[in-house]
Amino acid sequence: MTFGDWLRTVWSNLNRMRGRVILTAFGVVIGTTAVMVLVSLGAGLQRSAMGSLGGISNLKRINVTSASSGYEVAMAAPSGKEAAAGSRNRPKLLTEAALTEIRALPGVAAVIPLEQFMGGNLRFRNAFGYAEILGVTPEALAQLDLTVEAGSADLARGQMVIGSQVKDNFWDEQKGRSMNIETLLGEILSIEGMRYLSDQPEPSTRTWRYNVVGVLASSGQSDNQVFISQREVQGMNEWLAGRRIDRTRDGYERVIVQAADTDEVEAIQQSIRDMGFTAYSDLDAVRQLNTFFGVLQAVLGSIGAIALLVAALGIVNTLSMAILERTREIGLMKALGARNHDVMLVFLGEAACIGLLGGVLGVAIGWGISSAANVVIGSLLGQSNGAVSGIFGAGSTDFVYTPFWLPPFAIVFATLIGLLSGVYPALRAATLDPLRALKYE
Amino acid sequence: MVAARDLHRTYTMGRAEVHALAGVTLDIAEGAFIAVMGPSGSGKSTLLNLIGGLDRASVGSLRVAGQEITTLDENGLAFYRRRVCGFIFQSFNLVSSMTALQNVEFPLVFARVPRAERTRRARYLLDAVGLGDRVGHRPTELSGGEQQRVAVARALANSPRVLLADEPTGNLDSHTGAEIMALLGRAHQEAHLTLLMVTHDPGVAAHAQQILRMRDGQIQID
Repeated sequence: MTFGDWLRTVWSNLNRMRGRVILTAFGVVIGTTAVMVLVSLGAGLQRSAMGSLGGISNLKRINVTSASSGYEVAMAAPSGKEAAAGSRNRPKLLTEAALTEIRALPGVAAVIPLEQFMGGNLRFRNAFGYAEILGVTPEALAQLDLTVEAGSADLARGQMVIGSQVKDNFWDEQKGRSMNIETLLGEILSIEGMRYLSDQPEPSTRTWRYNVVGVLASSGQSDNQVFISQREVQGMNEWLAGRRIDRTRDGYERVIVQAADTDEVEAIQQSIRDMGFTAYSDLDAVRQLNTFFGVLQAVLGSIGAIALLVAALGIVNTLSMAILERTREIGLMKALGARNHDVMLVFLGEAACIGLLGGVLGVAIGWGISSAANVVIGSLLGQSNGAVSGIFGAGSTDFVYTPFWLPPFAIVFATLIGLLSGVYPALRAATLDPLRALKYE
Repeated sequence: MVAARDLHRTYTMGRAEVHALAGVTLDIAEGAFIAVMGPSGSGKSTLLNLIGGLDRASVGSLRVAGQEITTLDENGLAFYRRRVCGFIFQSFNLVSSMTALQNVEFPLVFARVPRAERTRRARYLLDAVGLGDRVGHRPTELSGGEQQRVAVARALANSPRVLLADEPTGNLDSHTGAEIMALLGRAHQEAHLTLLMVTHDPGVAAHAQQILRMRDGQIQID
């Protein structure tokens, strides 16, 4: 039997039992629709969550700290023998030599040491404000993918570039409320330091004044940071410590490693940990979130798959009936010289075809429902205030999202289910004894 | 053409063993026209089915067209039926959803004959059996005699060397039966094929060159 004849035979047989084929295929349609809509729903939720996470984080960024700094010592404690050794040895420092080593790792786009001032607060007129005070080299802002929304990025002496939300962080002590600031661009911000030295009974204070020359575009991580030149912050830290600091010897407190691509973050992170530093990236959180949504999609998909399984039983039933009706015809086919496998292929073809028809229709209907759901949910959220849509992430308007691989996958899956359902009836038909089949009443 | 040696066919029905064929030995020359007669259960249909490769012998040797067919596997038998045999049944066995033309083409589908050639041959055969104007009719739109004509055309489609007819006139009135017999006689002569026919009807058997009588699974010697 040629391929063309096979196709014609399958088609004409299906056509002959059209009513039953439509009913049976409808089971597959329901299953495929369920798979489409539920998996799309899971994918939509995932995309929304990722979208909002992407807004607050730069996924190419790895935060590296010396294992000695702060509470992270406990978190970064190496296991087993290393832990015992590590507790006695001096922790490794982020010296220039270490930075060079990190810079040489494959996939590293930039290594940006941060000089952080922890000894004081910001002050604007009568209000004090909170922000991370960071000292960076002039090229660092660009390396961190930070762009200036207003003003310039020039970190000359006495100049400061601030994150987009810094203006909202000031508390007016006299009035007892937060300050309402339009913009800080062009204003003077001071940094008030306070130090306690062991040989002096009273703490001493010092104030540094800065011109705000630039405000950064919102980027998530840097929205509550202010940037000044690295040299100046090092000066503040020397005042705070009461001694000279040599970063090539003492090491940096904190370094940001920018990967060339998110795919390389994990490997870089591991290499840095192997060097004995603490490394953290938002990709860790993303990965956990991805695992969660992967499971969610699998569970939702399984619910649809159960519907498909029920449909498969329908196909088995329909074909078994067809064999009973066509027993004589099968006997005749064999008498006329059809091989067992010709007969088998015809029935397998019919089963797969029912799966395919149901799959295609199911994908179409599933796609329609997904699109309709997006329109309905979109308009519902549009009527309420914008805060609600924030849950679903900025910029993302699709709540049900069909990944590109899902429609072909669903169609192939439905066809396969059909094919598998056809195996038992097809085998039965193929192995019928021609003589008995011909005499069957 | 057909050479059977001590052919046995035993069925098990429940606990009882039925010896449908109990040692048949015979030779049929190429081009012969033989009628097989005998009472019900004498084994005539079983003999026909064995020669047609629809059933397997329990014991014995059976050579058809030089080929030992008792040792063929399923695919070998399918090939044998496709290349050597043509079948005509008492109940016609046409596919009701197909037109006369499609029914005649049906065996050629399994022989992988190209479509155009298939149609050409089926039309020619339907013409030859006198149904040239009925090619598009379905079996339900044809009379019994016409249906059997379609079946004859179908049996000839593969240019078989052995034509096996099991009570070809059993479902037809005597007049129509005679027409079918005339058709078979003509096919036998023109295509020079070996024709083996099972029948109850002595009048029908009289068309044959030779009559083979069977009783209790064995051939009776006259």
